[in-house]
Amino acid sequence: MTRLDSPSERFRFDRSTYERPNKTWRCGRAAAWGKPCPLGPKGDGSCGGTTACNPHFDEEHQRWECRRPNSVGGPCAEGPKPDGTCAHCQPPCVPRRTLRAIRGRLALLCLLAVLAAIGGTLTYGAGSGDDLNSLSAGPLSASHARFVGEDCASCHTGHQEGLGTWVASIFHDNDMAENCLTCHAFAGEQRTAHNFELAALPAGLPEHLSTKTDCTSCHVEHMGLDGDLTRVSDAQCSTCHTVEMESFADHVAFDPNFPSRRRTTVLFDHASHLGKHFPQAGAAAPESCLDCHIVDRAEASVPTLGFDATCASCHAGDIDDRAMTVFSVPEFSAEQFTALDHEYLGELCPSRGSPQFYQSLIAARAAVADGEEFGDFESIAFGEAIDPVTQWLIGSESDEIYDLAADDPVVDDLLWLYLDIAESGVTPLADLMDERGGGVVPGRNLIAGLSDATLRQAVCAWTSNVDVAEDPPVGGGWFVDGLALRYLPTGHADPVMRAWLDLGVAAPAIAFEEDAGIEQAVVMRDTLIDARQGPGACIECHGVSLASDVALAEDEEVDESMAVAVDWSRMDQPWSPYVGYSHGPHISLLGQGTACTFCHRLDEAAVLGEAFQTFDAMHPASSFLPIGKAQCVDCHGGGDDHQAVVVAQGQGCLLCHDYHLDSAFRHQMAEMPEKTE
Amino acid sequence: MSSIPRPQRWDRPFDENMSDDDVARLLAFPAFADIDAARFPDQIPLEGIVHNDSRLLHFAPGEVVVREGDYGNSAFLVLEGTVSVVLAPGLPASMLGRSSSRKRGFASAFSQLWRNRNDVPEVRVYERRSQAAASSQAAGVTMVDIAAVKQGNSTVQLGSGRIFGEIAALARGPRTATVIADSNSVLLEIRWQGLRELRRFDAGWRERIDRTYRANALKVHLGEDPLFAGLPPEALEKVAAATLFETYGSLDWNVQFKRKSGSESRDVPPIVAEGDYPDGLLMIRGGFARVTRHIGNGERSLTYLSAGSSFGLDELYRMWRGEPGISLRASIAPLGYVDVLRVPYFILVEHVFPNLTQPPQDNLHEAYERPLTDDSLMEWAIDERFINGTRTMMIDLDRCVRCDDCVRACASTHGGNPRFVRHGKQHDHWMVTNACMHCIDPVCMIGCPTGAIHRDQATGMVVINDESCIGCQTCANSCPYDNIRMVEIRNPLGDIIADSATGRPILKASKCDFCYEQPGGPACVRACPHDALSRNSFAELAKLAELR
Amino acid sequence: MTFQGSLRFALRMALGAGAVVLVAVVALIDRSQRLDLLHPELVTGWVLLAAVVFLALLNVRKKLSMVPVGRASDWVAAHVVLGVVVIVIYAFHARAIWPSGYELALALLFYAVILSGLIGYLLQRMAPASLANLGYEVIWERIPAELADMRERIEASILECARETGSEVLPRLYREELAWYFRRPRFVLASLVGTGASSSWVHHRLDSVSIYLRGKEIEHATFLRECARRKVHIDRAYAIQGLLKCWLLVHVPATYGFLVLVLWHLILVHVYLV
Repeated sequence: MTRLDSPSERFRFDRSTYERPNKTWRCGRAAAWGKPCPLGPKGDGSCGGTTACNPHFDEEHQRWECRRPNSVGGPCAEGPKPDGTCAHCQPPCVPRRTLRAIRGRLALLCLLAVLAAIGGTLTYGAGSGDDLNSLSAGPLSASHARFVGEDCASCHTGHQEGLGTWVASIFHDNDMAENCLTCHAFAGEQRTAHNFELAALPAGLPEHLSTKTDCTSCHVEHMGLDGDLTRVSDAQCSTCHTVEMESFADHVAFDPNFPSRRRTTVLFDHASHLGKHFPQAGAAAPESCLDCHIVDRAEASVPTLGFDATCASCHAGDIDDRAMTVFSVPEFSAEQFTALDHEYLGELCPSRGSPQFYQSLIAARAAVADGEEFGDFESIAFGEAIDPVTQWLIGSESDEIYDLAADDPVVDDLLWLYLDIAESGVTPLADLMDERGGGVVPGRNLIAGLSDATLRQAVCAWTSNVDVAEDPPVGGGWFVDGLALRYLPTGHADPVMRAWLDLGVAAPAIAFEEDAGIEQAVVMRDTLIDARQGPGACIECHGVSLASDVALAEDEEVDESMAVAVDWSRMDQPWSPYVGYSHGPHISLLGQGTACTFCHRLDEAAVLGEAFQTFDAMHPASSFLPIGKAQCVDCHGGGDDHQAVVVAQGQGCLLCHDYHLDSAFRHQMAEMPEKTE
Repeated sequence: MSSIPRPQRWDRPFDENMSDDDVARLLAFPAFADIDAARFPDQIPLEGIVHNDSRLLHFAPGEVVVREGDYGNSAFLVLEGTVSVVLAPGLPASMLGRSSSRKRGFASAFSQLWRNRNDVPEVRVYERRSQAAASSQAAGVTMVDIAAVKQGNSTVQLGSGRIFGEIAALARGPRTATVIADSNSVLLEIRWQGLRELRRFDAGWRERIDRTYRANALKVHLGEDPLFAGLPPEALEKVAAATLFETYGSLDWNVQFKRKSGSESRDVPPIVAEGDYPDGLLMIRGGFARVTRHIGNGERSLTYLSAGSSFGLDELYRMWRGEPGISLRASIAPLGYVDVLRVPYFILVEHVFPNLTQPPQDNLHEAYERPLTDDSLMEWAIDERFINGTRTMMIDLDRCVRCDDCVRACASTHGGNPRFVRHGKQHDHWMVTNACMHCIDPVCMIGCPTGAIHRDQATGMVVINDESCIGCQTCANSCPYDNIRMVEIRNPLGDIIADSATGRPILKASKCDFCYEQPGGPACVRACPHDALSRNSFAELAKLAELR
Repeated sequence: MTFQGSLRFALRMALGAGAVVLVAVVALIDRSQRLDLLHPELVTGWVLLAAVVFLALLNVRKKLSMVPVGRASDWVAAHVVLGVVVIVIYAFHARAIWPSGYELALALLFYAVILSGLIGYLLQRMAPASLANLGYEVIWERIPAELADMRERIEASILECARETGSEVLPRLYREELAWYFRRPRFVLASLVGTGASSSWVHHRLDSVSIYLRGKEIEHATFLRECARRKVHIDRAYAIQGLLKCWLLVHVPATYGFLVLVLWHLILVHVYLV
């Protein structure tokens, strides 16, 4: 009866040989679940067991003997064949790799497959944005695709280098942001947070502000044609701005004056108009905001219809009758006046005064020289004080020149001016204005519309001691009023008036620059912007502000050195370069005209005029109450307790904030540099 | 197929330089002259034994001949001069200058990475066989101040014609005492194989060796036992004289054990039985004995005794104190083979008990009270005789993922050839693999004709010298655990090398050598990724309890 | 606990603590670099690379078992712990579950390695006990030999039976059905799950013919049953041991592929990004 081995039999030294798991090959018969042969495969993977033994020839008995090892069962019963071959021959098996060897093969295969896949996909669909290609990071955004096309190297400088350089690049820093700056530029520093000028920042800010920024930190390319590189998530802002915000409601409170950072450019007191004037104006008063504001073009600000369509209905007359004196004739002493070349003047002014008059003037001059009485010509000029404009123009320190010596340059220049005007008309006057005004406002503009004849006649008359009296021209323009040249504005936005005011407010700084005539310039300016007279009418509404858009420090005062300008046009007043707001979508949503007051609530107590008493415009002043965060949160808060329509409104950082300072392109299209290969 | 002449027993003599003149002079020496050479078989003549299995050694005064604790496989015959055996208390290890076993360097170990042959098993390169003989004297000469040694230790002087070193040779254990040359002396070192043949074929030598062995072993053993440690030399002599040296079982117990299965080996007549009247203290000098008590219809093993342990002291002491009705609480039975020293009761009464300050303690009672199944691992280990192992490879099958990393690691330190089979007897989740256990009593060494299998002098690891192994399979047959495997060797091309005369493959015995030459110890343990494999000594009962 | 044991325990604890510290440090660096608008991917990437290289070194360690370079079990413990850490670092590094382009391949390979590793770890923890409980240990490589040996004995037994009794029952049963069963491990999946299909299949057939057996035949049938019982064990051992080896067929090759692609990724990132 056959029995299975007893357990101890299985471990016998002559039954169980060493298992050799370190080998590569195993018996092919065993692999096919057959009986493995004891000899096993050879080291090269060939079958080592075609015979059970190598029979031995016994010389003594002259016969072959079986040499099957004991581990296989010892010598076999059959014994070797007569020719000395083993009786237990079997065809060779095909040894198979062990599982472990197969694993090694698989590992190699996997390694090669990955290498092949890398290599294969490199050539396949290169640059086409094919996902399989490991060099393809996906298609570019539309704008970059248009400019860069398939030239990877324009951003990735290493693209065209060899594999050696690639491997070496592991140990180099590849500052790709520099390549962005080939095209892109910003105001301020190029690679600081928010393009801050680090030197200008106050001390004590977080240290990482000084870290060089990397464009790719926020802007992700290769997101496809529709990819928006400017789309930046709030989370990205939060990397630095770590104040935790569940929603916009958690935003820090707005400035208490928001959105008024400075006074308006034009003094229009909504409170007094709406409260006092409009009720009195009857039909001329606007019915709603829309009668003055053009909401169709609303963006950061809402433009107005302008003076003529709005203010003029009440205020047109405030401008028409405000003539200004541009030149007035001073009183000369006889000595001064006789210095004039009257003979020549007589030739130039044939129509005014007889030759006898000039003869007598010449005689009088001679008499004066001899110490005689002057006779009829005791006083030639008409005893008026000269106006500040003329004073500035001729450089006189006083409003009269009577006491000056006859050869004083002021007198001399003035007499020569007469002569020149009589000879050439308005040009000498314009030239003088250019000279005095440093060309800030062209002299031509200052006397635009003044004809040679008018001026020459006036000069001839004045030098002839004749009083010319003209009526102001209807609709405005130049006219001679006795011993003065005057100008009556044609209406709102009169260019001559603007030119004079521009000159007037600029004059002190110019004089300061030249260190001469500062006093005259200041007097002229103050006269010109004096609301009670002449061009001061403009200044009743238009602010005069320091040109630099920075509030003065508390202990600082406006002085002559500071450039000042008239705020002619209504302008946007962004709260900060990093904060933006657009009326448009709000108006679309809320409906035109119905809901301005939803945000803009009239401050009935506000007195706007005071803010205009100084050149320093950088103080908040508004007819409206400040807009607080709460007003925005009503719609943009995002919480659950809001109306459905309102919840939908965005509240991301970028809805209101800009990251960069004035992004722009470094080159104009025409100047794009040649691609370097 | 390539072939070489089959290696023979005396291909590699113990000493290549032994001349025929030396042999002739030795045979004239009284110890050999008395031998009847005709009783020796033709293939193992006395002359051949002297020529090949012994060697002449010369020692200067103060030179250390053998060191206590070294493993030796030979005995010495004093030819000229005298030597001193250092008995108690012995020399400190630092004085003995023991050489550590030669280990590979890291680089040498690392080079196995590419030098191993993984494609062809059991490759051997046979060019010219190296002449380097395994030499126990190669460890280097150590000199001691002999006068100082004699001052501080009790010594015994041995003169011409005396034999020493037989304990280690016969019992396959470490040297029990240090021996120092007193004067310029000439010694004949006879390796175990020669000693065995002399003992077998000459009654005089057998009687002489056994007598020496018993006398020496007894003295050494008694001297080492703390019970007799404080006794003056004269008293110790008396004790020794009264003590009986008994041997149970046979030295080649392995032969019977392999024929029986584990449970059959339990039916052995006890040395003393439970309930017997205690007549003396039983001290185990060598081998193993099982301590059992009746339980139900069987015998429960409470513990097992190996060299150094004793039995019956508690009962004898209580008898001396006058407690009535004392009998032995347990039986002890030999496990294979056991040397027992029986110290009679009256000797204990006279020399030992009066000096005892505390009653002796044993834990037989506690052992009996343990839950029945707690000791199943020990019972199994006893039945399978695994208690013999000092480096038993055990695999925790609950952790082992059968990845064979241990086997590959083994191959990586043995030229690409594993030296164990990850397979073996199982108890619960423990497997004792077919890997050499480096037994306390390595019976495999008994029959080796050439001394190829021996214990490493320093570590005691049982290792095989592949070059002197003649492939006779004696060791493999002897190993009770089948942990020695015969392999057919091949040349580097992968052809099996055969005996040029008979065409039979040349075999070599192979087994685990505990990586004794490798830096870092056994590679198998280090390679186990799951801490499943460990090498344990079953001699330590505590270890067994821990593993349970 | 022995000194060695407690040393090992302390080492494992230190490993765990080290892993936690590593994850924490990486998380902190990741956060602070992100705040500074730097590329934490660079740091996490290098850490990841170092970790992955260390993980792959386990394979080298396994080939270096001849030199003392630390116990493999310590290496494996570090491998497992670091393997889990790597998942976390990878999450920091990739920040996307399904990236696009070739990085998807990279991610897939990573997932393959990690997933197979996790499965392998669980297998290594659970499977050994079920193997041990079989009580019949067989070396994977020896299964064909064991089966062949068993077949030889069965066939000899059946021949003997036919010779002794002249009955055709057992020979027919063997030829018709059992030869298929003993040919190779059968019911592998069922054995893996432990449904007992293998056992019930063969015993049902032996039971079915038992009514035709008499005398000596029954002894031979009993021997067949004994063989069948062992075959059931072999089936289960084959299934479980096979599974214990097969997960590495994914884990190791995928690692090689992953490492190559990681190198390529490293180059590309440095050429095109940083």
